[in-house]
Amino acid sequence: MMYLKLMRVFFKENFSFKRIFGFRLKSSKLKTILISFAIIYGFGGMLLGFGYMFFELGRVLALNQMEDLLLNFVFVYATFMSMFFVLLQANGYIFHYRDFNILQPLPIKNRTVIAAKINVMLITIYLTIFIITAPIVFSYFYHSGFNFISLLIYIILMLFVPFVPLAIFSGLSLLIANFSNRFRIGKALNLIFMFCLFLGIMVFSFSMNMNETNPLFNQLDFMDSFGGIIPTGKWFILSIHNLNILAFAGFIGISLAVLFGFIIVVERIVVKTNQSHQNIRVRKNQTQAVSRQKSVVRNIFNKEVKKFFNTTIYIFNCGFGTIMMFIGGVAILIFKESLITSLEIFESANLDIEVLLLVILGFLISTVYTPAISLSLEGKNFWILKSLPIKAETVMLSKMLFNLVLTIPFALFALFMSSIAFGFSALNVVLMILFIITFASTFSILGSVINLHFPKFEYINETEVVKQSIGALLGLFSGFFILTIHGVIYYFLSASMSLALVLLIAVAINILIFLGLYMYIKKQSESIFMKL
Amino acid sequence: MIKIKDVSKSYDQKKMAIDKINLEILPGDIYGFIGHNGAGKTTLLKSIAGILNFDEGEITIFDKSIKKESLEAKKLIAYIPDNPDVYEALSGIEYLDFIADVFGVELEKRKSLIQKYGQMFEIEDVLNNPISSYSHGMKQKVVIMSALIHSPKAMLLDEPFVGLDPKASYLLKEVFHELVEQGALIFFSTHVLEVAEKLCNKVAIIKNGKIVANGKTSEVIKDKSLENIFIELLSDK
Repeated sequence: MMYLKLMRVFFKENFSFKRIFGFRLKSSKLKTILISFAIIYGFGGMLLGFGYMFFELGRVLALNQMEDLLLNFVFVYATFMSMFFVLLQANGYIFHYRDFNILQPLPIKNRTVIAAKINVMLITIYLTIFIITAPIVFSYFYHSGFNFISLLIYIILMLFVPFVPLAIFSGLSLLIANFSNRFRIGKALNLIFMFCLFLGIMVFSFSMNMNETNPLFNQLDFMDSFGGIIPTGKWFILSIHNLNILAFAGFIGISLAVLFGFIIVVERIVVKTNQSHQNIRVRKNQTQAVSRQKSVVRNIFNKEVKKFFNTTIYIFNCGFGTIMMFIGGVAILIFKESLITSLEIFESANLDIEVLLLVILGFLISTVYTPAISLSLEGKNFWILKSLPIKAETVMLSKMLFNLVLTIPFALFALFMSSIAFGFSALNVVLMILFIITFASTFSILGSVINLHFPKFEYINETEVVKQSIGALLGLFSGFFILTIHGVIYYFLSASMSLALVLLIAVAINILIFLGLYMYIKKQSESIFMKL
Repeated sequence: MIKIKDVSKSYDQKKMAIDKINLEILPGDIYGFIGHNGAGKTTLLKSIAGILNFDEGEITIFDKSIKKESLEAKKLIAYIPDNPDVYEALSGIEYLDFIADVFGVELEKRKSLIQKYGQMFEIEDVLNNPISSYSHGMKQKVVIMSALIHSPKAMLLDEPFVGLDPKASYLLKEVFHELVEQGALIFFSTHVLEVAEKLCNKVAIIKNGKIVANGKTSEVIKDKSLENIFIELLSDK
């Protein structure tokens, strides 16, 4: 069957170990161990933290015989995650796929290609929603009693949950792209929309009240009403909780009907959208191109800026921390009063507000992990840097510079706003400034070292590097790792010395790590470059 | 001159991609490099350009070792790959400025060269546009311009005529002659044997990583055609 043949090719093309991580499993044991550790650490942390909250929620719900509400969480989380993924990926997977020129001349029905493409996109979605909902489902079965048939129904229904959001939000993403492409600033409009959407999800997350024993309690009403409004949500719960065959059949029937309807409707549209990229029309300029002289560092820096703002997935993933620092800075000043009240619990727990702020800023800086992936993003263009008379060290430091511009000014802005709001002492502010600068620089240079050792030059689209590469994973965790070191130091030293002295020690540690890594880049980057 | 002495490279430590290659390319040479697919042409070109690390031997460019004095050696060369993969987010002029800045080309000189080659290859009107909007041939022309903008002493090209229209191919050949008259050298790989035969004063034929024929074009082909020699050499076991 043609569909299965296509699926086999797409699967190999998208999901081989080398494709995802950038190297073969057998070729490096050390890299494999590091990756395994990072994955276990990342997922383990997420599952344990998330799992504890849902276990507690399940315990309380079980007391009131309302444990079926947990299934609402499963349905809503899976639906939202599917929506989110579809909005980000539908364009690349369905409407503008890169292998159109290979597939279109082949004697394969368009709907078969679309179905196979959708299935490839679904694999990522399935992986995510099964992992995200695993702790909730565990809590549900633990508190309501394990039932194998219910588990089987859950697994089957989860395979169908993304179908409806896929149909609706693929269409929506195409409409948005078509609308924004009519304007010269189409890309910017697309980005603004994406950020609005993501911020909306964040606002929803903040609806969880941190003063409650369990922040999930504040989402109960929303989950209940969402599950009540959407018929498939009700059927999802009835199928698993009450083993209702009719609801089970209804859920699958509706999902399949919507998906097949979607494929039939978009069949022609998909061909048209893909064809639209085939016509290259080069606009001739009225104005003459003007040459400008710049330093090499400035040139590479400018190139990084252009790459960043021209790659939606890049700016969306790595620009989020920058935007949050800016928005947070403004918000701190506006919501000063209510924040001071909320933060009293931290003061009563003997935790300095300054430290809490630095942890949050450190976390946000860590999400701007551009140095850990920017070398990989050179991709097929890497020959340019390798063949030019530019030191590898200069390339890496220019990339770091770009990262520091994305982090330090915004972190300092948030710090100044917080200083005004909370009235930090002048000495602490100076030390906090030093901490932010040294932390951002250390995080940045650590990211560069990571990317030198974990590059991924072969990819079909940038998403593979920005979201799925080992460089991205390690880059993100490297910031948390440095923060953990500081956390341990603060824990042991804060009782015996002043905050200013602890901050000074933290700054010194940052500088030491930075210098060590700088020396490493200076000595090793050239030879590593040659091996890449 | 480019001296390639006993250069070997293996990707898997089993099969040699290039095996004990020895070549000398002198100023004024237009040297054609011919071979079947997978013979090792790109590997050797990338090794000379400092893109690939080779396992054994030595490559010097005007007495600068590409391994030991890589920056100094790279300042003398221009490399053009078989596929014009360039920074798509940049405009043509930004890319050319980037390369000119790296090589320290003065503003006035680069302006005149951009104007000269922009007009010659008929892309001066699109240089303000992002490279992502260019056709394959236009990208190829930008890469060629970027190589010419710093007046290299050695030009290395991998299949330079692929994707170029007939006029651009003709112009590129003219540029080759212009450069060698100024004392530069050209070393390029090609599958178009007629081009190599007519254009090159010297040719080298590579088969399974080893040079099987090398020297002045007239001496290599004698009274036959390059195509005949190439087929004969390939069929020899």
